[in-house]
Amino acid sequence: MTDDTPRQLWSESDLDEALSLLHNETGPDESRLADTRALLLRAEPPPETHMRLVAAPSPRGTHRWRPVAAAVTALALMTGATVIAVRGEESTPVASRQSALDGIHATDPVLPEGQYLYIADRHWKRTNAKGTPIAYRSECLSETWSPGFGAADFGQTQTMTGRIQWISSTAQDAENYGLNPPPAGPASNAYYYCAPSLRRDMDNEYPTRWLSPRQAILDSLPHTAQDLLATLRHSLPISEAESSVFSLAGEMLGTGLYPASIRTRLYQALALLPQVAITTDAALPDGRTGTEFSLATSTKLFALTVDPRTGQLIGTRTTALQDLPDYNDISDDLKPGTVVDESVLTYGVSTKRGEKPVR
Amino acid sequence: MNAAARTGRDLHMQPLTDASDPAVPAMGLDRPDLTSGDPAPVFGLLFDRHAAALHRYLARRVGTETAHDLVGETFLTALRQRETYRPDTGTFRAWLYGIATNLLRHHVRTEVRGLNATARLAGRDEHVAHGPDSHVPAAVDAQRKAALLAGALADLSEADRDTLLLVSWAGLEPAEVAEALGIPQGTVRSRLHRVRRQLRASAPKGGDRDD
Repeated sequence: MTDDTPRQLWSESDLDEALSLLHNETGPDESRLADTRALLLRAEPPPETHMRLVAAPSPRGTHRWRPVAAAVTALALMTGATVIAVRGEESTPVASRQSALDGIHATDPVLPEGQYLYIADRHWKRTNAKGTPIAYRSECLSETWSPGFGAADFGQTQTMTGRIQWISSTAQDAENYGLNPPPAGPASNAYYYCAPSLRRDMDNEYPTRWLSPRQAILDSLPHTAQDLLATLRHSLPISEAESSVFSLAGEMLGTGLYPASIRTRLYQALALLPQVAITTDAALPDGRTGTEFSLATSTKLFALTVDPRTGQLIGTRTTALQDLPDYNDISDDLKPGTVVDESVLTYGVSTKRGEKPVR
Repeated sequence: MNAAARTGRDLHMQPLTDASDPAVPAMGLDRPDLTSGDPAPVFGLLFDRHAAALHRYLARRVGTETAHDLVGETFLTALRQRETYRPDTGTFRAWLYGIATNLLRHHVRTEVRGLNATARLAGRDEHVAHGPDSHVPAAVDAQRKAALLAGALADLSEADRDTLLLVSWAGLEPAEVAEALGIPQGTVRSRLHRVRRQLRASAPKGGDRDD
């Protein structure tokens, strides 16, 4: 069509007809659905996939608080301001990637029979409410209970905690605009409020099986970092995109369901990516510090923070590097420097599925 | 449970609603209680009821191969997160399609690429004219309309596309779409109205498409 074509408008029935015809050629392969059904109903884990573990955790030292960095990061939590520059000043650049990797000692918790690995991910999501001056951050708590690495029957909940940090305006202002930040309760829009935005990046598509690491998936992973990197690349539709590999590795680590040996390989694989920067002693909002792997795309800076004493992912952060539109139409554009979302992860062992560990 | 439910065959059958089946939870399959007892039997029934339709919906969006993977992941996620389903706040179907919508986010590029590929056919009449109905002008016109629509759908935001297609392709009611997407029902209705008006204006224009 060209611009000199007279303007046309479809009728409602034109639209319905086109909708009914579009991509309406195929039906399901019934035998494959039957296979899927059988797999689903066999999802209860066989006994051998229950984990008996491994190395005792290394004794955790006292928290090495970084008051300045923590305070600035906490300020960033409240204001949504960027922490890039301050983190750069406070973090220690490492001359050698290898020395940073050598400082990570991945271990797994001791998991007695019948108990559960517990992973809690507190995710703060920034929203600049569409068309208003109101900005806030909302917290989603994702919890996972797994009887062991490789188990199929792990349980997950995603809950909006009801904690809101008002960055501009107040709850009353929001109410005046008719806005309803997500209330406390089960997260009905979990993809938006609970998942790191790296997962939502259109360039970062990958098979979701990596987020459900059953034993067969763990067993299939190569034993060298180079081969693991190649496997990750080949599982992606755009294998040359480092951000996709970085995103995938971050997602895998964020499940908390990959054992120490594989986490170590994942960090080694990330260190093979030329665009990935590694710094030590990067601060998290809760005061913990860790080794940070970061990667900048044209639009965002992604960061993954690892506890060097356990090799567990303890934090993620996404920062806008240019105006970021919200394709979900909930938020206005987020300006450069804004922390789009941020997660803090903790781990433990629970005696019962669905219950938090006893401290 | 009947043989079809046990084997997973005959998946085009009507949903199982046999109240005498001990696997059917007391609250029925529309709003089942998933928190008590062995989840396998009731998930078998729920799979039989929803899997084929869910696959058809997903296949229209991202192709049949990816749809097969997504059906499995959707039900597996539902099984794992069954404690979070609240029968009093929505139907199982709405919750299930909400999970599927979340998983679809991993495949936005695939979907947009597919829509753009279809849209390009709108500019190539020889393609839309081929096929069993090629001698019927009305059918050709309808196929062309579908191809034009594809381009307009590719230009929509994810949220708008989800809302429209959950209604038009998945057959969800606006209340179920609201539950699936976690947005107010009024937002669903206003979004649907706006998107349909937008498509009626933009689809006829067509245009060159890139991946």
